[in-house]
Amino acid sequence: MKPLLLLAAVAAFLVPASARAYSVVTDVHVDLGSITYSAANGLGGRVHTDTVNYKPSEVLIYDGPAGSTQITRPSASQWDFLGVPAGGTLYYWPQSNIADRTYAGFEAQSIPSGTFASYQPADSRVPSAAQWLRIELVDVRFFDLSGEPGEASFSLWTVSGVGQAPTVWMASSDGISAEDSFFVTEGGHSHTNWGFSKAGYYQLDFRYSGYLQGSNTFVQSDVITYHLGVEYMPAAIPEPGALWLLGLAAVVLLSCPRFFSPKTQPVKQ
Amino acid sequence: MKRTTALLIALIAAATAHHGGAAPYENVYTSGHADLGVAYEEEEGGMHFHYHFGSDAVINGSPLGGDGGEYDIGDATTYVAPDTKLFININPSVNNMLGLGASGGDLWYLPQTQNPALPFLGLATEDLDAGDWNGGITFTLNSVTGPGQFSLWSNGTFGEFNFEFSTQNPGGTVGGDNAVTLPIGTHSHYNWGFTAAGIYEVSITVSGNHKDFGLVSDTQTVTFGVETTPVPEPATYGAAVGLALLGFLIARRRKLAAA
Repeated sequence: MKPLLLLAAVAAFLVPASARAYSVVTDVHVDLGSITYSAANGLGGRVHTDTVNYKPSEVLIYDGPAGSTQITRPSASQWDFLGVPAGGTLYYWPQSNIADRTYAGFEAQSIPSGTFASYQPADSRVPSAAQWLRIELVDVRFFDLSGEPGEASFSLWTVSGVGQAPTVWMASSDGISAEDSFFVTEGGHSHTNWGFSKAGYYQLDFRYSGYLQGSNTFVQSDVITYHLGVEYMPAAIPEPGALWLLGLAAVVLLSCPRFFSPKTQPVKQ
Repeated sequence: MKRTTALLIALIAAATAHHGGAAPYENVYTSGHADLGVAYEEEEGGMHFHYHFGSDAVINGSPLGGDGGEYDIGDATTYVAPDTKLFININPSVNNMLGLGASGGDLWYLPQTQNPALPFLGLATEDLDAGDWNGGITFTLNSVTGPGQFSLWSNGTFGEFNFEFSTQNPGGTVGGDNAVTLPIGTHSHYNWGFTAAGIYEVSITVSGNHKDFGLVSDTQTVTFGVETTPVPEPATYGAAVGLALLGFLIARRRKLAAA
């Protein structure tokens, strides 16, 4: 166990029980965005490691200690989306499985096959029609090393196997819109690079959506908040009660009609 | 009487062939998620290196569905389609590791990132229990038979090439040894590269240090079909002939009965 983890475990007992109760996932393969579906509950999300499932509200996905996740941003302008100047320090989680690093991805392998319809999203980044589930970035909140709210950029990208330009799926550096989306297929599984412009505590809000097979009905999850520690563990992550309030606030904020019209339509096969 | 005897022989030939082991060409994997995974079965021969297909894996044109499935490695071929071919010229060092000429060349490759139209093939140790092992599982490339060069690499965060296997320059791989070690209980995705069309037989050994049984291993040959799939072996042609003879005789009997 890393010394920092021990410290965190000790510190956990020094703060009120209601505020400190969270698990930590670090240094392992973790499907941060594990998408679930049932007819009764619709689309939802959990955090899935190879051995445990967590509620997103109860787990910090962490990589550290300080210094271990840093890399120098290359100077080419294709990396501007990272929100870090050329030659500056980027904090990152890798797309490839590296020993002692957090290997975070998305999966929809627990969804019964044949639940979702095949379609081609109106998105040039998506290569072909498939039973796509969309992962939409709704909001990013950042807290610095003293726990104060601040400004930082989050990004999600993949690089191809043969050295071409990166495919940028999400980047908060230029604001957040429907373009800040990633896609995974029903039954599928995918890994990306995760970039952060500063060390600290990030809250990422994701929403999952797709079209049901047969009816082509558009379905989407609630806004689900994930808690990420970038070389830093906060004293507490919000309790589910507080999250529920955040969720309610998000629903109120998003209650303008454009958020309810699908951005893309399914293509009949 | 003679016809009945012939019919029996044809039936026996077909039935016998059916009970033989499946061959790579019988199950062609064309898209979806799969891992080459390691299991340990104490009662059934120890280390078992196998295909673990996801529910979205397409075999012989249809998704497996359900929970996917496990196949012996010798029972399937991974297909690398013509449209995976790209002209690649990165730099002389990377070109060399890929097995291309100094100024680049054509490369067929299955990507580390998911493209639903292609096989999305990884390596996995998810079936194993960390409590049973000292250290991780090592995947070692033994040999490759095929029309060109083979390499396996992962992507760095800014697009760098981290080679794990290369038939062209094993000494230049990450460990300098054509081997990659994964911790227990995980999986990892890679790019799989080939420099010519045709059938590749890629021999890989998985090995690990089991707490009760010591050093254990399994070696399997993974078949890749680049723009092609393997053809049936001669023994299996016999079965095909038997089936054809059976069909002919049935048709002939029907014709005779009708007359």
